[in-house]
Amino acid sequence: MKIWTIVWKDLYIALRNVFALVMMFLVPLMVTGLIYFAFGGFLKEQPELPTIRVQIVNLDQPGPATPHFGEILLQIFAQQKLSQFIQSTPVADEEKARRAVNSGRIDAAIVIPANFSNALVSSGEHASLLLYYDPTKTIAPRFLRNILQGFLDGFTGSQIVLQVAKQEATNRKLTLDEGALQELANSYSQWIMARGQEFREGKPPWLHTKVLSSEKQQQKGVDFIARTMAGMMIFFAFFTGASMAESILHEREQGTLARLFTTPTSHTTILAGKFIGVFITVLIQVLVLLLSSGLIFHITWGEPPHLALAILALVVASSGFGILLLSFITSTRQAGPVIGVVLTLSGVLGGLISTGVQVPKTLERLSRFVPQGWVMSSWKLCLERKPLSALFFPVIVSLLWGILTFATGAILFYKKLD
Amino acid sequence: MRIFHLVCKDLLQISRDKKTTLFLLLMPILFTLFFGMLFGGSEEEQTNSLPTLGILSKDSPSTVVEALYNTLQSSGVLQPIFCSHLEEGESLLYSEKICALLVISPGFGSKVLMEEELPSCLLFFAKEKEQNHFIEAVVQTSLLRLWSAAKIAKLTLQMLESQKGAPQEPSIEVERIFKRTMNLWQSPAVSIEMQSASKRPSLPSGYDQASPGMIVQFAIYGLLQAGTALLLEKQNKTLSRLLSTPLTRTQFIVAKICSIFIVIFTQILLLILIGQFAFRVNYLRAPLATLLVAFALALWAASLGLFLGTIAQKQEQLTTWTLLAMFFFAALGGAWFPLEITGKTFAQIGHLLPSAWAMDGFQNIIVRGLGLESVLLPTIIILGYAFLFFGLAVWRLYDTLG
Repeated sequence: MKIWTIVWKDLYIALRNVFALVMMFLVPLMVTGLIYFAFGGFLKEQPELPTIRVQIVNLDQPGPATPHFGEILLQIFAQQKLSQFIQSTPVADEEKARRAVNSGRIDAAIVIPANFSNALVSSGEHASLLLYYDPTKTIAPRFLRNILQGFLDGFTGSQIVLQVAKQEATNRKLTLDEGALQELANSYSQWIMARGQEFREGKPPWLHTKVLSSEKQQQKGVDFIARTMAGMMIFFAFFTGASMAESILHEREQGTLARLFTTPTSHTTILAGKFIGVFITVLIQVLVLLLSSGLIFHITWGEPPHLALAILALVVASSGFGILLLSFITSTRQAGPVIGVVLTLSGVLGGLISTGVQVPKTLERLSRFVPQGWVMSSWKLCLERKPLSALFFPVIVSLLWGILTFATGAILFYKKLD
Repeated sequence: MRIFHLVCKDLLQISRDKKTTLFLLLMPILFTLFFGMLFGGSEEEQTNSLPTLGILSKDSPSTVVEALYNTLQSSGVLQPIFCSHLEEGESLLYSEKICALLVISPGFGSKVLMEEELPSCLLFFAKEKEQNHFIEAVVQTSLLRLWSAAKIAKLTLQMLESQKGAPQEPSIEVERIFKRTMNLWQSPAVSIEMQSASKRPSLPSGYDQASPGMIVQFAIYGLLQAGTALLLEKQNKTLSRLLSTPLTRTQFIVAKICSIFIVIFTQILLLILIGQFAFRVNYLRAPLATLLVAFALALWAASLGLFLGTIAQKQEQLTTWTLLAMFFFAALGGAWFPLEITGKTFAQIGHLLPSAWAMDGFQNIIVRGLGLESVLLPTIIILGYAFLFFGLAVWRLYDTLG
């Protein structure tokens, strides 16, 4: 009974503390919410390819009988299909276009060289199409490069077909007349133009795309935002574990712990009450975050048995780790920075703030050295709807972390109080 | 002189707190290191940052599939990886570790080489996204190059057959010419030269995003230490004592903003130097421009700190406000991830904030390689915010002091 009195008192204090409530509930939801908002969650808008602003400088000077391929390239960029993504403007001055990119007014400039058309029709001549781009843009230059590549490939193929035919004929000691070569070039041109036509008319028949159904995705998928929320929940649950254990130091500094010792209550009862308080507070935090994030971000957390195991792993590991951490600290003045630094670093190493991205292998390996990494593994498996047996290993390791750190912390606290 | 003494007192008080070094310097350095690695680290690791395309080949290993992989890789816009089975591909796709999954049907290689009809491929996306068009276009270009090479091989062989009769093993011949054609495609008559507008000699690295991002984030966090100085004055009643001296309210406010500014400005300068020498982020390419952005950022953060110091009644309140401000301004300002990759509304709102302009200012210098002129607009906007928060803080302080 005494234990529960201590537990309720600690819970009462914790849940009346605005700062604690902000850190337990508001901050994890806020950070996830910001990321959710950033990637279009609230407004149901997807991150879009921003309209690419490009200026094209056409310096092409084809020979008298050569088609003006520079002009054709300009027309391609002005086509309806591309104009959805690209706002292209022809300009005459290369320097002006470069200055526009430098100042960030446009994303890229394409400079068509003077020998562009000539290089496309005559063998032996080489030209270089310049794509001058803003280095802060990650998608625009790649997209433009791909369009240019597609355009050039058609012409490159026309040259290669002749080159290959000549080489093969030489190897076989055959002499090809101009007529045969011309016929070959024409056949290839017709073929590639037909492919180009298919492309311009819409979806070419040789590549079908399919967006997986949201239903199937919900069944099998792990939403980016679910992983982010899980990371934030674990990150701040560990903070709660440590902050709640700090109440022992508070009581000691305020003298209420000494007063408690004068009563017929054993040290074991007092510590047990404190530790159960830590455990229950973290549990409340996790349950509230699970419910609220489910409502706000529409996260489906997984099957109940999986979820129960993941919650158990989180609550035990965070409570135990918090108790161990605080057992080394002598005053509340020390507690803030130690909790902040140790839990932030171990959280970062555990991969809690990089849940949405592909992490380098080294960082992935490092996550195995901190309890947060194992807890995160359990949650990932739970979200991935893996078989229950797949969760056993990370959950057991998390529990071991929790039990061992709890036992060590409890012994140290016990000695300290004695 | 009174202002000077008050500033010295505040600085002494802040410098005695060991937490200052920990949170103002050590944490941002560690975060820069971590986020820098996450964003692709040094330029050698840049290919890791390309969108990954999963390839699930149901065909037996062939020259054609290998050529497709090489073409996608040499496109420089996607990083292809092979998935061993559908379950793995779907799992990677659902968890958004790959941007799309290309499924190649059985017999794909031989159909490409020997049949007239082009075998179709399936490209799966996890969600409807605008970037799907881009990925689809890249895959189309690569597939078309593959078929073009096969077509060239077949046409060449047909022409040679008409001259000298059919070869004994046409499939082997087509495959050999296909390989040769794909090799020739590596040195086309017209190539694309990608030239970054940056005046820097090397490619931007992950630290070019992480370093200024963490400077902006922890400059905001820095105001916690500074705001505490004002809060303590209020809590310990030394503020009332100060006001009983001939110190005017204006002198008090000026002294406070100066001390907060000095702390944050020093923090930013140290982080800039660490960024320059430890993470090779070239802030010193345009030292005056860097100094100007750092000055404006520090002044804005100091004003915000002073304002929060005036509205907070307790240390915990100040910490709460500071953390919320830090998360809000850092995330929306593009300190965590570039605003370019976020939704339109988020990016538009983000660009209203001083933190986004500070990021712009720093990136104009370190990524675009621009000079003083390029940071004037960001600096003016940040200073505008600094005066706004300073005005609010002065209003609150006069209210409190009155």
